[in-house]
Order: sequence, then structure tokens, then C-alpha cells
Amino acid sequence: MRRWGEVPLAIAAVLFMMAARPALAAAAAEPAPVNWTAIAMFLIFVLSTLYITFWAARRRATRAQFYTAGGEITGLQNGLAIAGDYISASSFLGVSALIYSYGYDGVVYVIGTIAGWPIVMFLLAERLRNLGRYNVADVVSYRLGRAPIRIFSAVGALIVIAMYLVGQMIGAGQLIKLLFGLDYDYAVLLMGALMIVYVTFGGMLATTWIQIVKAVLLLLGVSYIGFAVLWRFGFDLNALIVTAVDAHPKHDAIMRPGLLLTDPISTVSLGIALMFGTPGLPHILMRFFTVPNTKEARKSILFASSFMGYFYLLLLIIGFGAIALVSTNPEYLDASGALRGGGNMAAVLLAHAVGGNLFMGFISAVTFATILAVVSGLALSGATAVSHDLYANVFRHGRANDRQEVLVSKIATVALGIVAVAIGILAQKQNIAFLGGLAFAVAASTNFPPLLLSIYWRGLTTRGAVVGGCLGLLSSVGLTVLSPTIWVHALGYASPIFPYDSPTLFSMPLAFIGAWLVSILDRSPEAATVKARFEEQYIRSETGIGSIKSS
Amino acid sequence: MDEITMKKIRADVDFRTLTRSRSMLSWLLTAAMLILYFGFILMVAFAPGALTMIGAPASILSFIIPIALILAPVILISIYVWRANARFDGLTAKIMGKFR
Repeated sequence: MRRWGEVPLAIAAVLFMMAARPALAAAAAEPAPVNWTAIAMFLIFVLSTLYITFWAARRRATRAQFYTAGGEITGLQNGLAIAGDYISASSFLGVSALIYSYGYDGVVYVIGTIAGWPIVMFLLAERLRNLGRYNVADVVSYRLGRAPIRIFSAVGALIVIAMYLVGQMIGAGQLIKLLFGLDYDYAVLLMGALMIVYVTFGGMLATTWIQIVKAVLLLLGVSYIGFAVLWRFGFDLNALIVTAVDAHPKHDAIMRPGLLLTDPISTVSLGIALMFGTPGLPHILMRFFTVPNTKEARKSILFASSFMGYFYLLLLIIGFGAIALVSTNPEYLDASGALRGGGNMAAVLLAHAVGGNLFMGFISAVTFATILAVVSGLALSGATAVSHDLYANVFRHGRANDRQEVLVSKIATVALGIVAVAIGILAQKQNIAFLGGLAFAVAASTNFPPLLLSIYWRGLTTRGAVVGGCLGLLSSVGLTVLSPTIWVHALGYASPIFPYDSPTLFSMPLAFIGAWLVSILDRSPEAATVKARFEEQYIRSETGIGSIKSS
Repeated sequence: MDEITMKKIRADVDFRTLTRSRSMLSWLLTAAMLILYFGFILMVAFAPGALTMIGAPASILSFIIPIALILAPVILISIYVWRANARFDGLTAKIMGKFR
């Protein structure tokens, strides 16, 4: 494998030159100036990550290496990687922008984003580690029928991943155009190419280290912004808030809920999606198979949640800091008083306000790194769904060897990358803000209910899991299409058929009820067999007896 | 694992202690998180006025509940990890020693 290590460097160098040259020429005609600091810092990041990929590519290319880095990641490393995998650009820029625009209601998003982690810890992580090997489908299909569960899990995972991936791609393209002055199409292409190189050559090991590097850079970056904002206000939080309330056009209203979350049912539904979406995200749950045992799995979550708690507290300061320091400075506003470059720029402009051009360049590069780390985790988990679930377990009935499975995984990564870039470029002008929310809603309604029930409820049958999950999938996607966001704003109908913005309040219970009802009515001999196998699964999930060492 | 081993594990006193105490702790902490979080979400949805009564209009005190809710997951997870390290790992090792 040694000679392959050289390839990523060469490919990336060529791609970057391809992307940069015409883009820089095009950028001259556009209002966004080329930000050389940002580009230089980003290049340093890309070169370091390619070095990591080169280093990771020298390992033996087994399934276990490719999917889970041989299970040799430590708790601290995995904790950082989880934070790097979970905190997306929409978390960093999108949520700080929500706080910038709506105050308190933006903070509600922050709370929802972190609220799912205790559920992951208390109910899932250790049991996943004891029962599974490479991905969540290993766990759900532990006693349930292999083919139907693998197909369903792969489809559920791929749908969530596709929505998440396309959302990140489009957001990233627009952002890079703005931050670096690179052309949109080339930005998306460059990102897709880097993602493919990282995952195909470096597998989980490279992806993990890219997420770790990104997490450290992001935590350092937001620490500096937060510290600098507090410094400006003499470390007096009340002074910061008084200035922000003064500066915001809605004044006092940003100190209480109500500017964004106006409909009670939609608010509760969103709250459910945010909390239970996290334990349904395949790329996040996959990270628990990269550690050697349950103790390290626990440590990962403790580290991850501490880093994220710290990050999200700083995000509050950044949001209010942006109201106080960015919205009051005409340099950052256009003629109508809106932020230059759009609402999502609040955190980036605040970085400029407290750290000048150099620091804004750093934050821009960190944002790009953030997106790369997240899309790589998504791509790897999507590729695993194709190669491990569909190819190895369904198509080859579990008889594929290491080489074949890894090869299929790499082909799947390339295919996913090409599809994501193509959709990203075609859908450039579409309003994709709903995609992130939809990914959480679908994850909470499709992936989470069968997973939870398969671990805890003896009575769950294969049919129950598949029917329940499919009901959750169809209802969450269907209700979103009929909701105001798509039916009215995107499709142009006069009034929505489904009046609420988030479907999860209805779609998640539907999945649970469907799974329960079909399971108790299932009198097939297969149902009796899978129920009988629960005992062994239960003992293994509690103790890890018989659990497979990943390496 | 054969039938007989499974029956033995099931009847084992350490296994019973482990599963009983761990499931009690995890469901208790899960319930705590659900109550805190959905208590807050329901207030935001149906009684936003109740959340503004604390503190002066423009003071950090208005964010005391949101900040507590950002820290709650970290605190609850710490409690779980602390208990698990202190108690569950030892019990698991004992069971493994007996039945492996």
C-alpha cells in the first residue's frame, strides 16, 4: 500500500490548482475579494490533512481498519473526533446567526443540539459497543432478519446522510465563495475531491484525525473570539447583554422566547427532532465502534459532551457579541442594514471585529475544515452502509472478503462524492435551510425507534422494525413536503396541508406505534425465533461476553 | 453461548446486581434529562412569559435556565461515567472472569 500513499498528495495538488486558477480569475470580477490569509491557512490545513491521509494509507487495508480504524482510537481522541464530527458549519455559523437574529430562540437550538447526548450515553453507547462491530446495522440485525434489516438500515442511513451531505455541500459552496472569493462550482468540486481522497485512502483513521484537528482548531478559534468579546466588555456579561439589547432592533425581546419559535406545536416538534435526532445519526453512532471497549466509549462521550458544552456556551457569547459589536458597525452592514454576505456571516464578521483580517482568515479556514471533517464522516458512514450492509451482508450473504468489501466501500465513497458534488452544483440556487432540520427529523423517526426497540424490547420482530421505521421515514419526509417550508415557500401553494414546520412530534410516535403493533400481531415462525434470540443479545449487551474485538 | 451458560449468567448474583443497578441509574438519569429538557421546551412553547420573570430585563440572569440546560447533559453524563467506572466495570470483569 505504500506507493498509494503518494497519490492523495498529487491528486489534491492538481485539483487545488485546477480549482484555484479559474476561480481566482473569476473572483476578480466579483465583489468578494480573494482572501489570501484564509487561502494560505486553509492550504496549511489541507496539506496537514493530506499528510495524515498519507500516513493512514500505509496501514493494512482491512475492513476493520477502513471502517473503525481497527478499534484503536482512545477515549480522548474519540471524544474530540465526535465533537469534530458533530459540530457542523450549520451549528457554528447557523446557530450563532440564529442567536444574532433572534436572541433567546437561537439559544433554544443550542440546548436542543446538545440534549441528545445523555440519551446516547445512558441508553445506547455501551450496548452498541458490546453488540456491534462496524456500524449500527450490526446491532439492529443482531437477532432480527439479516437481509430486510440491512436493506432498511442502509436506506435509512443513506437518506439521512444524503440530506446532511447535500446541505453541508451547498452551504459550504456559498460560504467558500464568500470567504475565499473562490467560484461556487470549484469550491464544491474541491471539497468533494478532498472528501473522496481522505476517505478512500485514509478510511476511518484519517477521518478521525481530520476531525480531531478540526475540533482543536475550532475550539481554539471560538475560545479566542469569546475571550476577545469578554475582554471588550471588561469580563462583565451584563455589560455585553445591555449593549446587545440596545443594539438589536427588537431590544428586550431577544431576552425571551418568541421571535422565531412562535408556534407551540412546531416548537415541541422541533425539540423532539433535535433531541432524538442525535441518537439516530449513523455517522455519529459509528464512532463508538472505533474505541476498544465500553469504558473508552463512555470516556469518549464525557470528553465529547464537555467540549461541546464549552463550545455551545461560547456560541452564546459569540451570538450576543455579534449583536453588540457587528450590528453596530456600518463596515459590516450593507445598505439595507443586513449583514454583508448574508445572515450566516455573524460569527465570521465578529472574528474580524475582534481579530482583524488575519483572524478572520483563520476562522474562515477553520470553517472550511469544519465542513471537510463533517462531510468525510458522512461519506465514510454512507460508504459503510453500501459496502457492509448492502454488498457484504445482503448481496454476498456475509461471504465477502476484506479486499472486496473495502474495494466496494471505496467505490461507494467516490460515487457518493460525485453525487453530492453534482446535486450541490445543480441545487445551488435552492433554499436548503430545511435540509439540516429534515435530516434530524428523519433520523429521529427512522433510525432511532428500531435501534432503541431492538436493544430493549424482546418483543420486537423483523417485520415490526421494518414497518415502524418505514412509517417514520415516509411520514417525516411526507409531512415535511406538505409543511409550510416546502409546500408554500418552495412549491408556491397558497396554504400548507400540514400546518407545522417540524414533523417529528407525529412521525416519531408513529414509528414506535407501528413497530409495536406490527410486532405484537406478528405470528410468523421467524418472529418466535428472533424473540428467542433476545436472551443471548441481552446478556452480551450487558456484559460484552462474546463481543468481537474490532482489531 | 449455550442455554445452560445463559441460565447460569442470568442467575448469577453479580450479573443481577450489575443489570439492576445500571438500568436503574440509566433510566433515572434519562428521566431527569427528559424532564429538564421537555420542561423547558414546553415552557418555551406554551408559557414563554414564565421564562422572563427571572432577573432584570437586560441581565445575564435571564439566561440562567438556558445555561443550566447546556451544562445539564455534561453533569448528568459525568455522574453516569463516575458511577460506571466505580462500580459497573468491576462487576463486569467479575462476571467475565466467571463465564468466559
